[in-house]
Amino acid sequence: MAEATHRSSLIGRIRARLFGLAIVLLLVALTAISLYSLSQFEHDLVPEMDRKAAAVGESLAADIVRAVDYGVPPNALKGMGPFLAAGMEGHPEIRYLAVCDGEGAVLYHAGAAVDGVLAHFRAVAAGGAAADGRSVRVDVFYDTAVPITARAGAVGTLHVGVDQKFVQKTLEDIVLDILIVLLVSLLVTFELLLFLITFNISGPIETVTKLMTRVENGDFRHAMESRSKDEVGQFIAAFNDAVGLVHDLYRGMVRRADAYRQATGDELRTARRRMVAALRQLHDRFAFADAPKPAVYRESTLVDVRTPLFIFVFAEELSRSFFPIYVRDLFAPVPYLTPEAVIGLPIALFMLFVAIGTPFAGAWTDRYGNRPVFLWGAGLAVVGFLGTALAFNLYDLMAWRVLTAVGYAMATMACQGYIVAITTAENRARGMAVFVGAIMVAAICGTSIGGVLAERLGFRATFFLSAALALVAAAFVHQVFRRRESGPEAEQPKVTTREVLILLRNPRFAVMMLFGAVPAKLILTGFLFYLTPLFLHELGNSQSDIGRGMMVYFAIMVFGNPLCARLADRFRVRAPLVTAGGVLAGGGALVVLLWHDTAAVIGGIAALGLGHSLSTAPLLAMVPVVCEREVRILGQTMVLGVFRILERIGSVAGPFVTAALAGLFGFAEAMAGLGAIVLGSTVVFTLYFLIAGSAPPRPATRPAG
Amino acid sequence: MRRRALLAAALLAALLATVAATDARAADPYRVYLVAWRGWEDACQGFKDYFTAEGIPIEVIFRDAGRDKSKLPLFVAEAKALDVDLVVTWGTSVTLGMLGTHDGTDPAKHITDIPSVFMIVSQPVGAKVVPDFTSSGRNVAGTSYLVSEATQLKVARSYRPFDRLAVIYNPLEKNSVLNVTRLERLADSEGFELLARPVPVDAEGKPDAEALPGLVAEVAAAGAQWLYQGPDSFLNVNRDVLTGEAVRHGVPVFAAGENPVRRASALLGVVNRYYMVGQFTAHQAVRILVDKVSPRDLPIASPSRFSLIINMDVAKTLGLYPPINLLKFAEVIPARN
Repeated sequence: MAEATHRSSLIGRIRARLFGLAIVLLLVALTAISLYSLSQFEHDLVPEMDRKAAAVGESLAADIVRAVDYGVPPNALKGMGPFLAAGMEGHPEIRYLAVCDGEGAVLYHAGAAVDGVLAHFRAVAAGGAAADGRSVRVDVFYDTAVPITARAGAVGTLHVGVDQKFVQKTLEDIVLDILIVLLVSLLVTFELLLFLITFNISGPIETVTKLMTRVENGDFRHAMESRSKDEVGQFIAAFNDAVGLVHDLYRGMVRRADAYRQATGDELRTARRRMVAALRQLHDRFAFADAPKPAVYRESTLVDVRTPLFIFVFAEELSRSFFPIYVRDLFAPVPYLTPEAVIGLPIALFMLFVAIGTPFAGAWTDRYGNRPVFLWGAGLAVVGFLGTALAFNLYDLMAWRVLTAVGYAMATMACQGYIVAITTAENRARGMAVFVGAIMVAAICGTSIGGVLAERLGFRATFFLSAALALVAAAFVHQVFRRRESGPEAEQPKVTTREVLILLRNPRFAVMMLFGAVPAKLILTGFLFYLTPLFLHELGNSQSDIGRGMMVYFAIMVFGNPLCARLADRFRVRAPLVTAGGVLAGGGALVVLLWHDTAAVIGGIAALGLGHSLSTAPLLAMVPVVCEREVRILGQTMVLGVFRILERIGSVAGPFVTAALAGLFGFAEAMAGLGAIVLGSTVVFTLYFLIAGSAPPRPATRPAG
Repeated sequence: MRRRALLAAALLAALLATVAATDARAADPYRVYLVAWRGWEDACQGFKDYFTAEGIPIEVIFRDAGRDKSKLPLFVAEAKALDVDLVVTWGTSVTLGMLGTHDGTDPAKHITDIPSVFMIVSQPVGAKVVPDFTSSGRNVAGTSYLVSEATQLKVARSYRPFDRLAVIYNPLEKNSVLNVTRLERLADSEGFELLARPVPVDAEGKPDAEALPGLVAEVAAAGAQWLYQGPDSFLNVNRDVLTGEAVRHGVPVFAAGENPVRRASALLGVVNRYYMVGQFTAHQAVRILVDKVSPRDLPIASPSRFSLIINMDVAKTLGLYPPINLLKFAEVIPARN
């Protein structure tokens, strides 16, 4: 990620060292703090748990005492089974409750078998272990003994058994939360360091280096913009002074030559002629600005766009892990739609309006420039997030989400436009890698930390935070983006139905769309964005768990996708990778049906990440091969544009198809159903391209993968 | 945002309206004429407390008949003369004396024009105060205080599951016959066996109390797990014999009233507290006075909450201790030793 923008080895080395050092220091500090707080937590957890167990025990013991005081003999208490079972309800950590008599024999018992604890019960009754409200580790439990004392004297003891695994699980959860915070802190630190160093140090130095190379070649037309008074600023100022001095000297000579022009006399005329000749030589040899001062040279870097894009996407991804659950909380019936479809509706609407908004946002970027479109987009998103946070019900929520979707489309298209503007045809691919990279890293950070935030602060507060972050992104762009980026005209092709029809008439393209690209998007929104939060929630996972689980997809994608893209390019294998990806993604989702548990869902998510890592880049790379003829007519950009628009049909349809499945069969079955759809599509895709071949039937110029 | 503003405006308006209404009422409290049969007791207190808690000012004009029916015509005349807003009657005697039956009202002798509410009438239909529970068909509303048979059986079942239930009743009391009819219907739907035994009538046409021990022995021999004592006047008088004999045969009694549990040997009573009934009646009164609902549009209902009373002495004797969950919200009459 770091080396994406520059190649100078010195700057690269400085940055690598700086980053290395900063990250190591941060890692050490954060790990130390985490370990310390964890040990504190562990220290506090058991007493806290004991207090809770004792409180539950005491309230039950009070009821027993009441009965005994009314004259019910302790060994003739009735309905103790349901009574103790009800006492355990709502306390998943309590595994058993047992009432023992004065000898420690069990009178009544509910929950897990206590065979391993009987000796302890007798020891407590014999006074060997004090019933002081502190728990004792026995067998696989923490046993808390609560004395039962009626008016007539001691009755016995109530034992509350807490699962030792519960303590372990709680600690594990905390550790994982801390790790997530650690990871996200590192990634965010990395993003910010990258921005600060590029913006303040390496960027200016690199620009100066570039200008020095020009000076070396005799080009004195440009000076640099000086943004600070620090060492870098002084260095730039010194460079500017030097360029300015040479420039001034040249201008002085020109002025003097002009002065000589009025002169008469042979000697002077000769001198003037020589001077003019010298000047002409100078002018031919070197380049000077026509203005009295050298022009200010500005350069934009990809980091300018990476940081605000990261922050903006991060803001949107914060709600990824709980959005469907939030929608369900605000549920309101919509005529003709099942409850499942209603829950899917806001997700589908968001996808739809991102899809609709993107071409418009592209056109606006061309007309008004990147900066205003990003600022307007971020503004819309801020309003959308605030509205979502304060939503009354499903109806206004949908309106807010549409607003956010349009803002999202505008902001991302503005960033893409900025990259197109500051890159050339040669380094545009790397620019786009920066774009995709920022989005993926933001998704990793946002999904995981969003879950933690939602659990600690609540859903609505997290949306407020999203609004604040979108505002920060806007502030960045306000400061960093140029008012108008001059660069190569951003080539945003206008897609009309004509182009779509031309492409769809190509059966290979149609098959690739319908059985490759659309199902891939379908399972992404349906399985990951819609079903995963709801199903994991139903399985009893916390918001943090859900966020971590969903992060797996993005974490695999961020590393796997570029790797597979390179492999596909090097070995020119495309269709088989798409097949493998489809089988993995579909198979993973199908397998959820076998176990119905959290591990299966996480496995499905990982399989989806691997599958999409394998298939996304090769599928895109297939487009120019499959559409060789159309590319010649419409141009590659246009063909890829149509591809990108059409594949979004899958994103929009995903929640609806999934909702229909979930409504009919349940969550796990819906996951499996999506898996079956993807598997079936993959089979059709594979068979078709096996029989028909990748390239159109005319003499193929390129070997097909 | 705008909706929130609208909401706030609406709330403010509602608040102002309430304040205005309260002011108007404070100046002129509702005048309620309350006639009791045996003094100011829990139902009357519950009635009055409800108004206090709701902040609705009333002026209660209280009259006590002192178990003397002859006083009632005077109260009718006085209520008419005072032109009160509402008449409240306590008990079957007062209600019949003041309001008459639904098919025999005399505007000269009864209250007809002033809206009225009755309470503590055990059988409003049987006593002909109302033709049925959906409406009085006249300017009268009221509350019932008996817990429905289905609820009573549910409580008895949670104390001690049964598939054979006995009931002994006076066939001359219409209430009791209706009560047994409803039990028979429940026996069908819930699938238990009902052993219903009417008390034999002697030569003078009166139920024969001497027959009670024999009847109890008979149902005990038939394997009854509970004996039910309904709202039956004859049995209420003979409750000591009935419940005492039942305990002797090891059969627990559950009763639809407090007296058999408190003053005799019934194990369990499922009842509505008079205080709660008074409060519920006050709620009906507010519907009439404040919401201007016509009394004939108010069905005769009973409070949804009920109380259980457990006689611990009997529980001990029978060795039938109450389940601990039931003990949590029961009133327990503690064992004497």
